[in-house]
Amino acid sequence: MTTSTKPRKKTTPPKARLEARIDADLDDLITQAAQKQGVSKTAFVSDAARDAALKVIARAETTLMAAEVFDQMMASIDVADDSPELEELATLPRRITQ
Amino acid sequence: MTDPGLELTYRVTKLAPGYDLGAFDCGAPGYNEWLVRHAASSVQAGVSAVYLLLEEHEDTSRVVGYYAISPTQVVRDDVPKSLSRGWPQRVPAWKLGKLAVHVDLRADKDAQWGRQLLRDALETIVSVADAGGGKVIVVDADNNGLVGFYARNGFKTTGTEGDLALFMKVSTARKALTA
Repeated sequence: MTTSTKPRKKTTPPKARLEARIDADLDDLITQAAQKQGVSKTAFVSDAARDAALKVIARAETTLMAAEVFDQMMASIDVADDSPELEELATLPRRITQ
Repeated sequence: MTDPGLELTYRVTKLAPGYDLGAFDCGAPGYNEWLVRHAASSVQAGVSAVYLLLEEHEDTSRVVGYYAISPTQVVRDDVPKSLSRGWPQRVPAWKLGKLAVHVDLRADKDAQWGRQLLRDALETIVSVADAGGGKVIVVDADNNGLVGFYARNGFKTTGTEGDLALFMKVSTARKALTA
């Protein structure tokens, strides 16, 4: 893989502080797990929390559709609509190598 | 700025470590920042797949566009169930969450890079829907200008007041783009 020769812009996100009271057993467990991965406890906890948060948000994200639009769509969900706009898009000279 | 005299080729690839994401600039800070700060973790968490548009010349390349897709659901807006017609109240879908093109490419009006990348994204979604299901493609347009862009390319309104989401049936995209 090749990469650009342009210099990478450094972006440092602002830091926030999170404090949590946890059982000593959980603290030990986190300490062991972080050591096995060779990362700090802060890095371990924040990575785990980020992954969990992203999954929760993704699951919660749905698209609401008006009932009449939904019903009309479902009535022919597997049948293609005529779409002159998409047919025109399909004829666009291809610039991206497949 | 791209030198118009260079022989450039373009291809789409999945996000992987090693690409210089910080140099990407689509003119919208939120989209630039998402690529740099959140795209990799979103992929790692299994939440979305991110695809990069690469501009290549000899042994160099740079990121000039990207899009992200993720599984989602379209949910029928709340009405009494007695009025519904017996089908499920929700349907599996794919969300085109982000689609952005570098400002250098946007200057090339003839190529219509936004539409080039949108077509690639729709083809990708049709392909993954064929393999793993999903009946609808949805986009969240961040502003009314983007609503117009997606509407001009076959998307329809979800009819939800104040919502900038649009949709297209996978069957419609499959017929038009894989015919």
